[in-house]
Amino acid sequence: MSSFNDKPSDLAIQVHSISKSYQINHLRSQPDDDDSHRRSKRWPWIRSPQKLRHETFWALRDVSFDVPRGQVLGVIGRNGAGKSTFLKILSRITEPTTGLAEISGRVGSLLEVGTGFHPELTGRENIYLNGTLLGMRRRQIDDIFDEIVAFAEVDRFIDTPVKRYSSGMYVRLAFAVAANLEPEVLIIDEVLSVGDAEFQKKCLGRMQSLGEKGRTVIFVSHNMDAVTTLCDRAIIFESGRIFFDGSASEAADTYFQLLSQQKKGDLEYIERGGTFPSTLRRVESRYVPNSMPKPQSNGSVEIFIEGILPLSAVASSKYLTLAIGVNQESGARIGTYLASQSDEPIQIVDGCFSYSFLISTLSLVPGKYYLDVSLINRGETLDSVQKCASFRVPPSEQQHFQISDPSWGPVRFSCVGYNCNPLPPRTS
Amino acid sequence: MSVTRIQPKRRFSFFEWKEIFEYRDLLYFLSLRDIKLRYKQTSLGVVWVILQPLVPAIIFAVLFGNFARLPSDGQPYLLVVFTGLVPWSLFNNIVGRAGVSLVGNANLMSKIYFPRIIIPLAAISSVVVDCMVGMVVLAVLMAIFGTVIGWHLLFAPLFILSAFMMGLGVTLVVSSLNVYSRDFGYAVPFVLQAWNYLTPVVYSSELIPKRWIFLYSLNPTVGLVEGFRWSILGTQSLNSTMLVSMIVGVGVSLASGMMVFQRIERGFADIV
Repeated sequence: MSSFNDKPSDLAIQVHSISKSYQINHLRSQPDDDDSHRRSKRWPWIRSPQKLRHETFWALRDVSFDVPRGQVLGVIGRNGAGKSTFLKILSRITEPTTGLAEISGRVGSLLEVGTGFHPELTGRENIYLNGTLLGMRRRQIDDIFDEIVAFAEVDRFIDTPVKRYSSGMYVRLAFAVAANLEPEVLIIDEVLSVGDAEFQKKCLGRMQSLGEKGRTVIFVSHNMDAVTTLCDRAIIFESGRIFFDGSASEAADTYFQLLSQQKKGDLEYIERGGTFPSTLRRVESRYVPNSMPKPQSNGSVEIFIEGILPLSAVASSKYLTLAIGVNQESGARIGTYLASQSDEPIQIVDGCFSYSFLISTLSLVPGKYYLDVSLINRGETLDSVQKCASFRVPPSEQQHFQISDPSWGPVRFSCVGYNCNPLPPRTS
Repeated sequence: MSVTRIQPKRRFSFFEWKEIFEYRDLLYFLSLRDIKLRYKQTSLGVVWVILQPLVPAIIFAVLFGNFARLPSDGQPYLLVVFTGLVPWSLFNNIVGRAGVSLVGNANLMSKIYFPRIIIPLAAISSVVVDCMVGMVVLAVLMAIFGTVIGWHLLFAPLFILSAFMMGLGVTLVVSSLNVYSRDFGYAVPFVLQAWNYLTPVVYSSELIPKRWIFLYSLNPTVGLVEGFRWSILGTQSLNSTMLVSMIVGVGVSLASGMMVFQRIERGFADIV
């Protein structure tokens, strides 16, 4: 490691085989060793930690690279590829399990815009609090205070509590503090996803000028345009390792290729909401044609859903509800199917569940449809994924007349009975 | 140019005092935030800080002094209670308020790096301000009752400092363990309540029978309260056992607090 200490002075960041592991706990259905069983008998009121099965998960594996001074480095990768963990290690929020990294120069890291902002405090108070959180001294903030206020365009409201700010003002002020930080090494995560377009442009300009001033920037983003315009070089993370390291434009191409190889039905990399956003693991759907060739009934859709419940939801799992939204290709919702535990029990074994069912497609016109799936437990949305599966209703052969114009709507009405008697004459 | 080295921490490492000192402005603004937020949008503001110890003190003085006629070392009972409340609430509120501070600031810890000890320290600052207000109220009460102060008043800061350090030590242990298991958050108010009864806060330790006084004096907070009361009122209940257990209590809690905190501080962001 001695060669590591006398490093060439033109390197801002040196990362030397950094790895990070986490322990993941799984719920076990039965404590299978005698000891824990005995213990839980003697002290039944103490929750036995033995019930958990531990698994080591490597969020980062043997990551090494150098960043020369003045380079703007983009970091891209799918959700869960290790980008955030890597940034947290570089910003010293969490420690690596093994490995070593050295950063020379003052580090400013911005993993979130407005960390520590408090709605009750005024703009001025929040600038000082946020600035000192980012590692500035009070004197330094005094010096750049006017610049921050001007950049954020909030000068009239600087002594107003930020809870009265519009969300745009709030974000501008929060970013302005960090943008005027001017550290020698700046680490930024996805901050450009906030604010309006004009402000985003301003932020990008600010980062560009940092790079031109010879500051080193590490920039994590899903926005490939921003990465290719701002960065000299980009790294792609994939499964905790460096998958690609090269020019930003090549990296963007490689990343798009990587995205297109995504496995069908695999939800791991789809953006999602909810309190436990990895509960749903797999959603598949396919169209099943009707065996009886009745003109008024279409086929049905077979939907298969698989997931792992969080520990806290297993106990109350009898309240689980699956909400499946059917959308048109344009994104407009056609209708929602609710599958609740009381109607059709969802089998749950060891916290894992898989559920397969058929729903009728009524009389949907031929075309492609997308599904949104949400898992709800007692009014709390555990997980929700959008556009996670699709099915196609084929043109039917019995129909002489096909609806093809989308402006006619997604549902084809059919006649189920008619009355040939003439209408009684109107009495006027 | 400064170089930041990032690597797994060794098993035993010491607090980086220099770094904590560099973040002193953050401590200042976080403390300011905590103090401001406590009384923001209240119209009485600082009056609450005065009322909080004064009202219970008057109730206890009437109940125990006038009705139950408990012994008071020949002093006005209100002063006996108030000299108990000042050091006890300092200790009690430090542990109570700072004990949950790390969990309460989880969002900060998972998004930004700074010495983690700043968080409990900032939470303590508002308690210290309350304590100073309490001492002003005490001075006013002493003037009203015409208390004669003596040379022992010089020792009053020593007992206040001891209450502060003991509280700090205990809260460092509690707040960091609370990150791992929220049981501690629930246990703390309960334990403090029981501890309050075992400390001569609203009564004088004159009340304790002679044969139990040694055992009673082993509680380190007894020394805090009786010591402070002695330094203000010149009462006779303080004994050497109380003093020794107080000093040992301060040393043990501070040492274990720092050891536990620095030992598990690195894991906070992964767990909280």
